[in-house]
This record gives sequence, structure tokens and C-alpha cells, in this order.
Amino acid sequence: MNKAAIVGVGHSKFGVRRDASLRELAFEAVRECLSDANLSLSEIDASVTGVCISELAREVNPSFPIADYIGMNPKPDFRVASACATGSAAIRTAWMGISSGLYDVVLVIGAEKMTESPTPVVTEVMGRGGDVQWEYAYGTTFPGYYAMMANRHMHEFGTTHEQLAMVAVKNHRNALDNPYAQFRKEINVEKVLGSPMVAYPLTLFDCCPLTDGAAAVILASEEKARKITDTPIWLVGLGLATDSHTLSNRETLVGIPASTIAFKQASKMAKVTHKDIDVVEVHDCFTIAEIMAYEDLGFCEKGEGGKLIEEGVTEIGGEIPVNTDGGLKAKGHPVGATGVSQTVEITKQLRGEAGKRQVEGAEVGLSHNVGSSGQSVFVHIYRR
Amino acid sequence: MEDFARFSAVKDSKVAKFIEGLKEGKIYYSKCRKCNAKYYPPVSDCKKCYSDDMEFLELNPVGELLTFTMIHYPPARFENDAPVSIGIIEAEGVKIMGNLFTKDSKEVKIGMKLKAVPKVYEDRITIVLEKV
Repeated sequence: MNKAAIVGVGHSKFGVRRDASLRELAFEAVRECLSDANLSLSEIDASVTGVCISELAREVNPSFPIADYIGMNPKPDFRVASACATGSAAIRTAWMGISSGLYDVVLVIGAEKMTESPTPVVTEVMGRGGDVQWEYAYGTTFPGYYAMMANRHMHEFGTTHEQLAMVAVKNHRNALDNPYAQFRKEINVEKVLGSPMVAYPLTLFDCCPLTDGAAAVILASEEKARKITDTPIWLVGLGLATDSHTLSNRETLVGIPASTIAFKQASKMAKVTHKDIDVVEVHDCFTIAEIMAYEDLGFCEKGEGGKLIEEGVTEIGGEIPVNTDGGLKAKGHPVGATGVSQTVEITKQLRGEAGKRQVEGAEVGLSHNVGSSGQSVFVHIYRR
Repeated sequence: MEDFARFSAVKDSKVAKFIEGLKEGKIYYSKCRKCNAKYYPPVSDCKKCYSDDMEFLELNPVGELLTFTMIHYPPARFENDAPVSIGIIEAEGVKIMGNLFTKDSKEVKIGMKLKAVPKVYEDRITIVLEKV
């Protein structure tokens, strides 16, 4: 199996981007990515495009306009999707293309434009990330799914809303130093607790926003990577696990079992343990999701996630810095772009290019990306 | 119009009988005649032994509330129902999702005993978790 490395990263500004279309957002990220890698499009063998929600893109296959607009035609382009983990699915697909020997240099694009559609429509479409046949009948939404997990977590372990709020406070603080983030504004625990109820017990500031944005990375085979850059970031471990489509058929409501399985696969492949990991990106679509991720990925025992945030362990400067770029919560969550954006941040951290949010001496990084409420989980481990 | 999800989702399936059951006040689960695997929501095919010989059986849907939420920003088709209450009970070894007997989170306690009751409204068929 061929080794693969990240040799270029690019990012559009995340936010309410009513100034740019989906394809234009993708172009912003791709242009920055090619420039970062010092490559031209002619040196790219194939692209993998992650756009999740056709209904919002108003295209049956939203990667077609992107591949056309960025100038990929007539080269191969693959569209992949795995709900909110679409971006990581795209990276994994590119990695498969390189590790199989089929391609040497692959461009990965993640993009989504979410704020153009009316909110109830987006809420419906996102809610339909759950089981449409069996659970949408009751009026489920995305916050609703995570709210049910939060409520059970609080019941079983005494996790408090204050502890959940600390996740939002930390991620907003981290986003202050990320020029690409949607929200660059400090908040406090009181602000989270006092914000409008979205889905009991989660309030507005427990939830990630709707976001427009794109991110891009270039993966290359070992031989090519060493020619392209002096600082390749190696993708050394990958995990992917899946679970039931209905929330009610999960073995637990206080965690995402696929996270634990995916972590085991990735850490075994990368030959690393928790103490080797210097910087982490987790899927914090809701504050409770970050707390559960600490536990499911094994950074603490099940039920101890609230304490971990309280003790500052996951702050920049703490033992396990998590979501140094602001996470989905403050950086924003353009569904298809998120996994790619996580890879961009870990790459910058391992190159030592993360500016004020740099984790000193980071050598090993991890990203964790969840599809829907846990139907799929991707874990990637990276090494400098 | 009587629709499980305010749009057809179960009607055109091999388990459409589930909706007929709800109309008669019954909640069905399915059991594989070959390997005895039990499924809720019901299925017409067994993913454990790959048999399609399933029987539909009626649940006695009384059990403990595992968790719940009140959705203040409901999705399209549910805008007039805010807040939408949703809970999950565990009964006879399966978990059943439904709407709740109240829209006030203070009246609901995880662990309380509830019964899943089919409800047929003018525009929708659903399951409501009611106090026993």
C-alpha cells in the first residue's frame, strides 16, 4: 500500500456568504490550496468532491458544476457523501485512490451552501439526516437527536448545562484567532445558558450555525509528496465505522459507538496511543457532541467528559487541545466542507503554521467527523 | 389524509401493515420465524439470517422513558406543533419513539413509566407516549 501525504491546504471564509455561489466558494478554497502546494491544476490527476445536500445545492449532482468551474474537466472527479462526515469521506476516498496506486496527486474539495434556503427547509432537510421512514414521523430535527443524547447523558452522569456551555465558550475563544471562522466573538457560560431554547436541554449557543463555505486539500503519493513539499503531513491512520439509522436502535444513547470503533482502527493502523496525540479536531455539531467525543475516543472514561472540559484539559495549552480552529461550533459547519476543514487545521498545526492558536511542537494530530447522529464516523490520524 | 409522517414514507413498503395496526390502536413489531430475531420498527426482512419469513406481533408497549426532548424549532410540516415533544421508551426489549403526553419539559422525568399509544389525527398518524 502506497503512503499518502497532505501537500496543500486551502480554505474559504466560512459564514453567511450570500456574495458567492457554491462553485465560487469551492474555487476560493481550491485556488488557495493550489497556491499553498505551489502546483497547477495540470499536475492534479483526479478530484474527489464532497457536497452533501443536493436539495440545498438545487443540483442532482452538485460536484458537476464545481468540477466544471474549477477547470477539472475532462479529468476524473468523484462525488462522495456521508452526511456531516462527507468531507472526511472525500479525504478517505482520495487516500484510497493514492494508496491503491491508481493516482499520484488528488485534489479533495468539500463545500456546502446552506444559508440561501429558508431555515424551516434547512431544518427539515437536516432532520431527514435521521431515519425518514421511521423517525421523521415524530418531527425529529438534528438538534432534537443530540438533545435526546444530552438529556440522557445528564441523567446518567450528572453532566450539567454549564459544562456543555464551556465547550461553546472554549470553541468561540479559539475561533478569535481563526480568520476563516464564522463567529469571532467571545461568549460566556451565562450567554449560552440564557440563549433561546432550541431543543430541550440544548439552547441556541449549544448548536453549530448554518454555514456557507468550502475547504480543499491535495493528497500525494510518497514519491510525489517529497518533490512537492519539504513538510508533507502523512495520513498514517484511518478508521471508519457505521451504526443503525434509527437513534432508538443504538446500543447506547450516551455516546456514539462508531466513534470508538473508528478510533481503534485508526490508532492501530497509525501505531499510536492517546499520549502520542498532540492536537485534536472533534465533531462538535452540538456541545454535547464534543463531550461525548472525548469519551468515545477514549481521552477520558465514559461520563467524565464534563469534567475534562471543566478542568481545561482540552484548551489550547492544555494536555489535549481540541478544536483549536473554533470547531463546528464557532468556525461554522458547511456540512460537506467540515471534514476537509478539519484536515486543513490539523495540517497547519503539524506544519507549525497555526499562528496564535498553534499547539507548540505538535507532531501527531487526529480528526473525528460524524455522519448524522452517528450513522458513520471517520477518524484520521496525521503525523508530521 | 392520514399519513404517518405527513408525507408517504411507510405506505409504499412491505410493512405498510404497521400503519393499519396504528389505525386499530395496535403497535406491531416483527419477529423472524427462522431465527427469532425481534425488530422494532418492524421489518419484512431479517438482516441476521437473511430470511424473509417474518411474523407481525403486537407489542405491550409500556415501559420506562429513556430520554426526551422538546423541539422549539420544528422542521417543515411541523411548524404549528412547536414545541414538538419526542421521547423514547423501552418496552418488551425494544425501544419505541413517539411524541409525549405534554409539551412542558417540567412534567417529564426520565425513568417515568409511559405507554405508547397510536393516535390518528386529521392530518397525521403518530404514536404518543402517555402516562399509565
